[in-house]
This record gives sequence, structure tokens and C-alpha cells, in this order.
Amino acid sequence: MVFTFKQQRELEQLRAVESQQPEITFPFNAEPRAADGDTFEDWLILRLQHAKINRAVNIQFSQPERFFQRFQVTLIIILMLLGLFSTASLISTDQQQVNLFWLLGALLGVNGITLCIWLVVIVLLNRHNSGLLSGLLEWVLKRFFSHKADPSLQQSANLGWWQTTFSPQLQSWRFSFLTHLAWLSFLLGSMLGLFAVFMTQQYDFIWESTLLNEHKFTAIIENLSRAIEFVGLPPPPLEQQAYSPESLRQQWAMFVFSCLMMYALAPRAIALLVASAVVRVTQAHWKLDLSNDYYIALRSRFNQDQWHCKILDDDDAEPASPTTPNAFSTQSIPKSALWYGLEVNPELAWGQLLPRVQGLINDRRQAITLQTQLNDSSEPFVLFVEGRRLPDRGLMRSIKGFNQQYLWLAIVADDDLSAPQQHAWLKATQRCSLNPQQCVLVRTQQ
Amino acid sequence: MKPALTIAIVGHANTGKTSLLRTLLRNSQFGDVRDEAGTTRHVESAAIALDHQLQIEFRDTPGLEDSSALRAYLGEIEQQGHRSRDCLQKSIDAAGDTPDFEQEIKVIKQTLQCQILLYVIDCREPIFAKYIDEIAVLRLAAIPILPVLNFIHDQHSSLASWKQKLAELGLHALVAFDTVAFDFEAERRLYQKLQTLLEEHHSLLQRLLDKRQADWLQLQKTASLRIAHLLYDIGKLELKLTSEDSPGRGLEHIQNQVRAMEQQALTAVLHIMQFNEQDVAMSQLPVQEGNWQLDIFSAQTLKTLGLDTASAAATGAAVGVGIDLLFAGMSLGAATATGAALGTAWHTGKRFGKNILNKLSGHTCLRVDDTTLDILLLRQLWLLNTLFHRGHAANTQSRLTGKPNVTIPNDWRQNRQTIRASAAGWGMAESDVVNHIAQWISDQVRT
Repeated sequence: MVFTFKQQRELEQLRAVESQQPEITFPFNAEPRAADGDTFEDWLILRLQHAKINRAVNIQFSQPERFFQRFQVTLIIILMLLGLFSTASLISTDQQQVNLFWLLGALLGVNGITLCIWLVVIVLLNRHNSGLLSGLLEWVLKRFFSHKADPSLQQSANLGWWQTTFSPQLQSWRFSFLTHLAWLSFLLGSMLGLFAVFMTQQYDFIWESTLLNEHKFTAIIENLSRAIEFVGLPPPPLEQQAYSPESLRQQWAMFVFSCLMMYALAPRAIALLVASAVVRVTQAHWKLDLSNDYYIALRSRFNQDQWHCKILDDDDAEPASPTTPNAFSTQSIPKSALWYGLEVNPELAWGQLLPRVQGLINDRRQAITLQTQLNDSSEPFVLFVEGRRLPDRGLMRSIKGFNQQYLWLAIVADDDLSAPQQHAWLKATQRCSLNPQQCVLVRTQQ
Repeated sequence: MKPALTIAIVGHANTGKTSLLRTLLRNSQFGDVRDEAGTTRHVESAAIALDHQLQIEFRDTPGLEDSSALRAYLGEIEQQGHRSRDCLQKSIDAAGDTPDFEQEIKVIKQTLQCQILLYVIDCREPIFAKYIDEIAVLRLAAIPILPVLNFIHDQHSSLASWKQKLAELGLHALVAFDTVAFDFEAERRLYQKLQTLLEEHHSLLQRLLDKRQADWLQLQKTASLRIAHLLYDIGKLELKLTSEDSPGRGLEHIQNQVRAMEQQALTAVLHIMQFNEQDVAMSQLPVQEGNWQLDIFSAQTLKTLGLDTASAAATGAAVGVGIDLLFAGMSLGAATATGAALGTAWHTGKRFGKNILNKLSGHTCLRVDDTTLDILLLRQLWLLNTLFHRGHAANTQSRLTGKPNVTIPNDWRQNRQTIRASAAGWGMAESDVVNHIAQWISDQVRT
């Protein structure tokens, strides 16, 4: 399953909430179990949907998005108003004159410089984080959300939203988008303001500069005209600069609007579109960091549930009575007793390790033969077994088949037996009803 | 709904049937594993869904404890003219008359309900007649039997003898799978052998194999990524001290931070690998009950990890202090190479601006030094190497000696510098560095 950015952001909000208040997301409904064949990602989405059944969670998860949208609208309105009112400072209302140098310089120049700075920072340095603004955002998030000892559901949801929306991969382009949006709004406001002023008043277009002479002016206007002519807009009447007749005034006003559109609005709009496209592409490739401890814990739970375990054929036997097994006997085995190995490793030289070894019994037929032979005798004999091999019912059945009166059981080990091993053998001797005095633990001679 | 494929896990008591399932399921909580014959006395199933339907089911069965007597009993039924599966069915029908075989009858029922048997063999055992009897009983079910040779890495293992004996019995397809010393390749071979024996379920088993492979890779990737995050976070850790602050207290503070971060990573890695604190307590890793036992800043740790103690002594408490000029040449060099004056100014300002400001304001900056990062890396590689090869059935101590089975790879130094550079704010972006280090760690860990 491939997450959408919105889903991932909501999952991060859920993470922020659950990291602070694990009990808050599923107070009314139980945490959902993954359906058969669901992937971990499917289950995360299912959890998210269940969490959002809680109306409070749903509302608070969507609140930062609404806030951010309102913020953008407010930004547009404020900047447009600023642009609108800035018109007054761009033209000289008392003399009904417009200083072309000042007007173009203020609107195109400042805009051009900031656009260049943005280009240098974003393209040439190609950094993921956006320096000062990024630091500022981090400080704000920490100040208002992270450092709170007991943040509310809303604060945690906000933190998750902001951290994802302005994550390092997105930060610079998100800030770029906002910057271009603000500039575009300002320029549009300015253009509207100029339009309103030019509609209601008659202005003469003049060139006033102490340092730049007329030749410079002509060169600048010619350079600016090239692109304007290229797209089919009328060039300015260069030969008639100031105190022009009405028709020329209109041509100069059109030239100002053309310059604004060509050199301010269009580049900003393109930059805005680029930033918007990059944000969208980056969002589409944005990956949830599933190595975060929160997701690790969730994945661990998911993996446990991946296999459906159940008992099919239960043990209905009576539980064994919890009797304390006896300790092994410390009595000495009679020296005359003959030794027989029961299910012992035939590859070991038992004759060298133990006294009077007569043979090894490793199958049912041999066991029956030996039982017949020894049960007719009244001499003590020893059955030795390997202590590290745990007793099973088959072995116990074999032992039970021998005459218990003369039988000694030797549990042989070349090392200390573990407590569970000793316990298993003591239990086995009990189950075989052997005389506890005749069950001994024997260490082989190495 | 009945799964498409049902696999019974059978064998003698204490051969590791439940352990096999624990390891295949990566779940150390499945069933009951003890040093006692007949621990599992019920039949427990574990089913997995593929494409939203339960498809494959494993069934853990009680151990066959008295197969010689059972074979004799079934022989008597055969003499009455009941052959193969019919013979087994008769034994089930007459179960009330033979209470001694209660556990064995449960196994026989499963052999008649499943499509294949995984016959688990403890390779440490000599080939007693009772095991041959078991195979003879299981063969009556007339379904494929795949022997799974367990405990193959044990010193007492008689793998060759078992292989020879199984071949004599006509069981040529077998798989060596140590439930304690895990190896994903062995798990893959197990599924491939099942595919060979169950041609009609080939594609289903392939899907299971693909899923397990993807899960395993995901697990490795996540664990490596978590370690990469740890190394990065510790690499960029810094503590600013004013002239009034006590350097000793600052040192203690940053050391405690490192310890806490490493501990958090350990818990996370255990979770990723589906182990818990108790599982690791069993091993001789310097971890007990989920806590590292050797302190990262102690000389003993360096000795244990086989690192150069002389260099550690030189670095004192293993935390570097102040401005390190190591990056100065690199930073300027790299920037000059680009020929961009603006770039140079930007880089230099970013790199040294903070340090120069610190210097002017009389601040000292504590950072974790390279030796500490080396120790961290070594410990994490050691941990991953151990956990990637630890079966979920392991309930005994892993036999690890004092020195880790890994060394610091040669190209680590370069990666460490990449972390430092990015952490200082003039190298690659954090996410790129972390992903790069995670991939590198993944390559280092032998699985």
C-alpha cells in the first residue's frame, strides 16, 4: 500500500498524540486488529480511521490544516492591501507626475533582487533546510508544543501536523511557496492600486535621476521593451518622455503595466508554480520514518498478530499432582551388580567409563529379551541412562518392565546436570515407581 | 474457512518442534518450550493469510514418545487387514482402548488431516530404533515427509549419519535448519523443499516465501535505520558550556544522554527483531534484561571490544571538547573546488560561525568524540549480527566469547566524517546521511 501525504501527516499526528497520551485515541472503541493479509501499512491506516471515529480526534486532526489555509488567505489579503496602499508612496500625487525610474525601481528592482536571492539560496546551495526560517520554526514548535510537560490533544495534533508539513525535505520549498504567494499578492495589490490611480487621475511620466542621464534612461527602457515587444505588447514612445499628450500618457501607463506583468508578476507566478509543483512532488515522495520507535513498537505488535494461533486439540488429561520429587540417592551401588545401558549412545566406549558394562539396550526387542533374562534372577542389576537425554514414555515403559526389586537406575553424566534435567529424571523415577534409594546420579570418569 | 495448505510438525519429544515454529513465526511466545519431555501436550496451529485469505497453516503436535510400542500396536491392526491410512484411522477409532497412546493418537489425527509432515530430528541424538519406528508410523499416512535436521551446529551433532540413514529410508529431500542458530537461507530452503514436494502448492508457497523474504528484509532495514539514527543523533550531540559551568558536570550530562540514547535504540532493535528483554538476558552479550552491562565510557568496554585502549586514554573520558579543526581544510577545500566564492562564504560561515561565536562569547562546546562513535558502531554491529542469527526458540545462552565477532570496517571513517559534516550543517541532508549509513550497516551485517 502506498500512503498519500495527507494520510502520512495524519499518522504523524496520531504518533504525536499517542506518544504523549497513549490512552487518548481509543477510549471508546478497541484498537482494531489487522484483517487477514493486511500489510503493516494497511493496519496503520485502519488504526487511523478508527482513531478518527472519535469526533474530538477527527476535528482536532483537521484543525491545523484549516488554520494554515486561513493563514494563507489572510496573508494574501494583507499583502494585497499593503500593495494597494503602497501605490501612494510610488507616485507623487500633488504634482500629478510619475517618476518612471522610482516606480519601476521600487516595484521591479526590489522584487528582482529578492527573486535572485531566492534563486541563489534554493538552486545553487540546494539545501534541504532553509536556515533562519527553519530555525525559527523549530524554536516556535519547541516553544509552544514540545516543551509542554502535559500537552493537550490539540497541541500534540498541531505539533504532528507542523512537523510533517514543514519537515526538512519540504521546508525550503514550502517557505518558497509562501514567499512567492506573498510577493505575488503584494504586486497584484500594487498593480490594482496603480490601475485605480491611473483610472481616476491624469499623470505625466517623467524621468528624474541625478546620476543616470537620458542616455541611460533610453537604454534601460529599450532593454525593458524588448521582451514586451516580443510578446506583442506596444513599446513605449521613447521620443516623447515628459509632459506628453494624452495618447502618449496612455502608452506610458500601458508600458508600466506591461513591465509589471512581464518582469514582476510573471516571474513570481512562475516561481510560485515551480514551488507548488516541487512541494507536490516532494509530498508524493515523502516517506514516513518507520524506524521511529513508535512505529517499531506498533510493527512488533502487528507482527505478533500476523499469525493466527489457536489450540486445536487440547490436553484434557488431569494435571499431574504437584509432588516434590525426591533427591537422588547417595547409596552405593552393589559392586557385584551388572550394568546395562538403556538408550545410550552406542558410539561411546561405555566399558571404559563405567564398571561391569554387559551390553546396551537400544530397541524394543532387546529390551524384552533382557527383561525375560533378568526378571528370573535375584541378583541386583543396574540400568544406566544418559542424564542429558530426557526420559520419555517409551523409556519409562522399558524400565517398568524390569523387576523393580533388584533394579538400580544410574543416571550418568559427564558434567553437572541442569536443574530441569535432574527434575525430569526424578519425576521419571517416580512415575516408574522405582525405589528412591536405588536411583543414583553417576559421574563418568574422564 | 479451511486453509489451502496445512503442514504438521511432528517428531520425537524434545526435538524442537515448537522451537521450529517459534523461529519460523519469529515469535518467542508461541507454545511452551522446556527442558522436559512432553512439554507440548496439545495441537496448536498458526495460520498466515496471503491475499486476505488464510492460506497456510502450521500445526504443532505433541512429541511421539513411545513409537516402538505404537508401531507394534499398529502392526497388530495391519495384521487385521487394515493398511496405510486405514490402519491409522482404525487406531484413532480405537483410541479409547489405548490410553497410553493418547499423545500419539493426537499426532496420528494430524497426519491424516495435513498435506505434508515436517519431521523434526534432533541431530545430536544417535539413530535409535525408536526413531526408525517413528518414521515407519508416519509413513502410513502416505503423504510427503520432509525431515528437518535441528541442532546442526551443536558439537555433538551427527548430521552425516542422519543424512545417510534418511537416504537409506528413501527420504532424500531434507533440510538442515537450526532453530537456535537462525539462518534465513535455511528458512528459504525449507520453503523451497516444500515446493518441490508439493507441486500443486508451488505458487502458494512461493508467495509465502516472497512475503517472508520481504518481511525479513524490512526487519533488517528497519533495524539498520534505527542504528543509523542513533549514530547520527549521537554524532550531532553537543552541549554548550559557559565559563561558569562545571566541565565535569557537562561531561556527565552528555555521557548520560549518550547512554540513554543507546539504551533506547537497544530496546527498539529488540522490538524490531521480535525479541524481548528476557530473550537477550539469556545470551552473553553485555546486555542483561534489556540493559547494556558494560558502560560505553569504561576502559573495560574498549578492552572487551578489542579497541585501542591507548587512543581511548588519550581521549580521556571519550568525549571530545571544543573546536575540532579536522573539517576546516575539508570545508574550505571542497568549497574552493566548486569555484563559487559565495558558496565558500556560505559554507565557512555555516561551519565556523557557531564556533567563532562560541569562542567570542567564551562558550565551550562538548561533543561526543570519534572513539565513542566507534564503540557505538561496534556494539550495534555486534548486537545486530547476534540477533539476526538468533532463533526465536533460543532459550539458552548464546556462546559468545568476550570479543565481538565483528570489527570496525575500513570505510567507517569516511561515513563517520559524513555524519559529522552533516551534523555540523554543511554536508548532506540528515535524511540522506541516515539512509546512506543504514544501507551501509545493512551491508556490514552478515545474514
